[in-house]
Amino acid sequence: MRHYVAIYELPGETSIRKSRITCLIRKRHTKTNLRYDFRSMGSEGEKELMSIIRYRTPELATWSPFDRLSSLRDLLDSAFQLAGSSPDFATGWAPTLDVFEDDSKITVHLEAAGMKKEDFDISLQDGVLTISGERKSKSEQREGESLRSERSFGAFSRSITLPSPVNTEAVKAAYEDGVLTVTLPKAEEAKPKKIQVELN
Amino acid sequence: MTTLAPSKAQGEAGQRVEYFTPLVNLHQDADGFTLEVEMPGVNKQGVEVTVEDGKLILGGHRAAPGDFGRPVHRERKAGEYRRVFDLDPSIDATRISARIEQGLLTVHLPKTEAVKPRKITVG
Repeated sequence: MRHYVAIYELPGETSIRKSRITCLIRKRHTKTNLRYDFRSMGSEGEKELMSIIRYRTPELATWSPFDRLSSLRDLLDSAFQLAGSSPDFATGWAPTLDVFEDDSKITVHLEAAGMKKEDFDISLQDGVLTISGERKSKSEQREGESLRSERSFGAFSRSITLPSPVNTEAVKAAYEDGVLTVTLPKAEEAKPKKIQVELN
Repeated sequence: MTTLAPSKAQGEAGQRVEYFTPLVNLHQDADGFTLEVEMPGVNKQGVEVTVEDGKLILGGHRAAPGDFGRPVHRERKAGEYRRVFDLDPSIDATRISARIEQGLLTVHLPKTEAVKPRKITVG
């Protein structure tokens, strides 16, 4: 995140494409005599970065409208944040999930705002819990135009290999405040048992 | 709606507080703008929509999670949601309305009557 903080604070705007920005940053990485820490760069460092951008791509000396800056930030956001955060990224939308375990149950939280509970499909097979569904977008039916579209839509599917056997009959799911919570009570044999130590 | 300015506010004792930026969809039609903000885990008590100084400030507070045991897999980020938008002057700030349902906050920002396209009949 430090990378784009310095660029964001530059006066004016740039219309650098994402590939060019990452290339510029990588080049600076190889300069071993420079401390690569934008936060402590100060005004001298910012001037240096600005002059590098100007030198490499002279057409960027003219600044484009300010609202392009936010899309630059978002480009970098997505480049630095999304990679590795969800396994199904390449195939489309993957809502984030958490899995917790205690002595009696396994709890799964899946974040998917703006859906209805009927839109979810939950299945359990061979110790693998699969939650799938589809989030439909209303915007196709609406008049007017979309100015900004960050939310994901469409079909998703997340599978979790459960850390211990569960009692399939007693699995419950609830959808509240945009979070689907699946509670899976552990099978009796999987629950920890206290063993009495005989004292003589 | 022009720019967005995700902000980091100053907390107590000058500490920088980090916020999590919710994803939004922004739609415009003849009546005004509609903003859809994703804030899973936030309910009506935890959401805050403020108009101040020509800015729309959206905040979301997630209730503290219950105790579910030890984490096996964590992807969700903890923290407060916050996002600030500069309001276009064509928006009538007194008629902004919002509602939240299943973690999705929908804000309707109507345009002032004067700027809506009007057909002018030619005599």
